[in-house]
Amino acid sequence: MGPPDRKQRFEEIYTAHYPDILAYVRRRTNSHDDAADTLAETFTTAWRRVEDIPDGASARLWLYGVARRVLANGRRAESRRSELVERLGAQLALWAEAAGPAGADDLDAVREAFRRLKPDDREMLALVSWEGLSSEEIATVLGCSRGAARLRLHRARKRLAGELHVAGLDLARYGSRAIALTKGRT
Amino acid sequence: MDDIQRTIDRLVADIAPDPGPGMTPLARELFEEITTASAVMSARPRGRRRRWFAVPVVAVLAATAVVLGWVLPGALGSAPASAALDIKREGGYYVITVEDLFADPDMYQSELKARGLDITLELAPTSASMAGRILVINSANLLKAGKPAPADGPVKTIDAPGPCHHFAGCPIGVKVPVGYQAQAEIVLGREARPGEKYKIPPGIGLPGEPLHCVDYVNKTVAELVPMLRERGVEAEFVSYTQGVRPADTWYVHDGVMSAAGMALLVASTTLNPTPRPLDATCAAGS
Repeated sequence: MGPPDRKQRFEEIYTAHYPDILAYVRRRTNSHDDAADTLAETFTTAWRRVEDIPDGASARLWLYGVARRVLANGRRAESRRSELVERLGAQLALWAEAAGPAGADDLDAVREAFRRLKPDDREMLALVSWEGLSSEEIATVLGCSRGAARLRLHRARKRLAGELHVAGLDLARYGSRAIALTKGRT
Repeated sequence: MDDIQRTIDRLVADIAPDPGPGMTPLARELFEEITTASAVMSARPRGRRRRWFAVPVVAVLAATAVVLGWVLPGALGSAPASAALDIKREGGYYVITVEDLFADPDMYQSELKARGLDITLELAPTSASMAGRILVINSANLLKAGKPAPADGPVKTIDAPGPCHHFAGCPIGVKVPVGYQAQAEIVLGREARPGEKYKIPPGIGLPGEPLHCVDYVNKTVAELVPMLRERGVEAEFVSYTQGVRPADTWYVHDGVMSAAGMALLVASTTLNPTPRPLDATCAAGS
């Protein structure tokens, strides 16, 4: 265990950002066990490297970056999962069961179009709309330049608009100019 | 940002999957596990699962440690007085087994020092069922400085040949690379004296402990007190929040024995949604 101030700082970061990191991880894996593993590994890394975590709101971006790398590393080794992490996975499964399946609305076509995008495009759009990040913040999470983040985001939006158009979704319902995005503009 | 972007972004936001349950008591437990006993999670030997042996949230162990079984040599006291340890060289390793568990720790020390190993041995008070167990702490110098230490250290345990039915594994000794320069600590469990606090607090439901094969998780504090008293155990209850004392109506989540006849239990206002299955500990035997 580290000095008390180290633990206190980590506790503040953990308390402030755990719900956001949980949401981020849950939204990117279908396996509740993997989600629990990723959470545990992300925060274990954060505890080990607490001195490296930036102050303020940037801490959340730093944690997204770690969680992203943990997810990219694939499935966590089974032997590393503690009994507590197994319980966490079970809790997430229970929660999902109680929440019920998504899709009790008219957005299935949007979901389908979103799923057809490449993972990189999906991630750009999700970081904006699910995590509420600006292109500048996305650049921090992904470790790319702001210009690159803006460009990738623009292209991802355009591709989704294209997929929606192909699916015959009446974009006029959502905004007539959305269709213009699919035609000609780069 | 123009309307088109806004429309696309709103559509994506509308299909956002559920964010999950947020901060839960289990999330607080994870915090405790990471900051106090994360090594128990990560330092276990690969390939062997010790699901329910993970030290509970109230565990007092604060260092990177693996609790393992230590098999006593067959005839206690038959070892020559001059050898507390049996140290053999096998290839690039020293293979160390304890000849005399009750030798003076200084004796272990001098035998290790003679081979240039900076390994300390400590006898830690624990329950009768845990006496003879061993903790191996790799890179003790890093941990003491509050720095991260590798989960898997070069000091490893050697398992006894054949199948192992003991919940904590069946190591018969430790293996140390010749020329190992870093510090390591090995803690041997010994039975505590009356009233002495355990340094290795066993889970209260482990084989040999008072609530072994007793369904105590999610009983209320008020229900558990007489159950423990029947078994000659006085209980102290803590909550997940430091300084907050659980009320009689709170539900017990987990517990350890903190001294002979003394239990330390953690309780919460909510039920533990996923109590450890009772038969897992009962079937495993000891």
